[in-house]
Amino acid sequence: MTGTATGPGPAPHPEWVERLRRLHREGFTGCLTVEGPPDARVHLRGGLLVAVRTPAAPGPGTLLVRSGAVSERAWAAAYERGEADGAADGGEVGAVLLELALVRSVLDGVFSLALRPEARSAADEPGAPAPPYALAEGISPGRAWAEAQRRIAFLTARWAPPAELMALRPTATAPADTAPSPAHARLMAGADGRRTPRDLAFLSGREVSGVLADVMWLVDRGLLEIAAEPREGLSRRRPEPAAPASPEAPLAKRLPGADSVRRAPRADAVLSPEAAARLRGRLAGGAGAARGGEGGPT
Amino acid sequence: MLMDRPTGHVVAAAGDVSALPSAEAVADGFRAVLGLGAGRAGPVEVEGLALGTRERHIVVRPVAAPLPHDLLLVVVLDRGRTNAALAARQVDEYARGLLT
Repeated sequence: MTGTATGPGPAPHPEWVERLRRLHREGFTGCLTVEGPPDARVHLRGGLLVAVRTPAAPGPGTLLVRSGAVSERAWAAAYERGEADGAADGGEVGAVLLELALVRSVLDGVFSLALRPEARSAADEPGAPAPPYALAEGISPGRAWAEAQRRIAFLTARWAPPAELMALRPTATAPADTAPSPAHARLMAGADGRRTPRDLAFLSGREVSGVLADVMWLVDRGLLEIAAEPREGLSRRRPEPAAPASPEAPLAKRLPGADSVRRAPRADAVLSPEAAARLRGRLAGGAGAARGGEGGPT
Repeated sequence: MLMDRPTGHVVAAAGDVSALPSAEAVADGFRAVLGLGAGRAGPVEVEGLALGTRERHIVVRPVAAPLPHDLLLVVVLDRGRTNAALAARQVDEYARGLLT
């Protein structure tokens, strides 16, 4: 089934959905590798989803670190511990936050896959180990699909089918400090006309579906605008705020030879004899090359 | 009920869930309140919402999380048996400590 202009957009390919249902019924433990785009590795334990890794949606590490929930160092340490003993003991990463990130990454991964209705090839890998951090109690594929469909319907009813919204590249029309909340401020700071909602989700460590909702609401508020064409080249540069005028402060005195990096040489500064000789040699070589290699002092 | 602010996803719910409002309606309502301050006098930090009906108090609080306003705690209280001010304070404390 594919979406129409008024429908909720694309639905997951039925064959793929049926395959997941079958694995659920069979109590499959292992990995379902899906060829994309986007590629995905869907991990199941006892027929339940415990992890979804896909470049279409942030994984738990990105959700935790990029959002600022945990430091990169703490996550790296926890990840190494998880790989070493296979236990999803978050260590410095709080258990509740970790669980929340794992659930979000599974549901958002399924949501992101549901936006691509094309038929895909998939291969079962029975017994393939789950990533170091995976849900202890998995989510049934049916429940995950239902939540994905609810999010698609939620976004479609308010704005447009999310599959269409994913291609937008918003640009901030106001400084980020005018955003209604810190979460919105981070989106506005990252919206440079080149990043898609998926890019913004990875940048800010948030779910793609949540970013889509916030982006479209900010567009409604006039705080973001959608570029008609993808912006190429450098990101948009916003004018810097002017420094407050101070009548007491004199104008900066410009010194010959100074720039924003180097100070001007002292008036009595002289080159050492060695430096002067090197400089003369370079100038002579450059001039010689310019004259066709004649050489000689200038 | 613990829910995602942007999408209305119910993360967890406990108690008499039949008394809870629709999470999507809460998401829309919270968005509308955020919009009251947007684009006017700068950012508005919404501390929460409280709604009274004939039978119930509905208290909505952002959960202190790495990113504020990403998760909402929604509590429905029996109006006849609850001191609204005291309950709101307790919900505040609970929301602050939920993920920290």
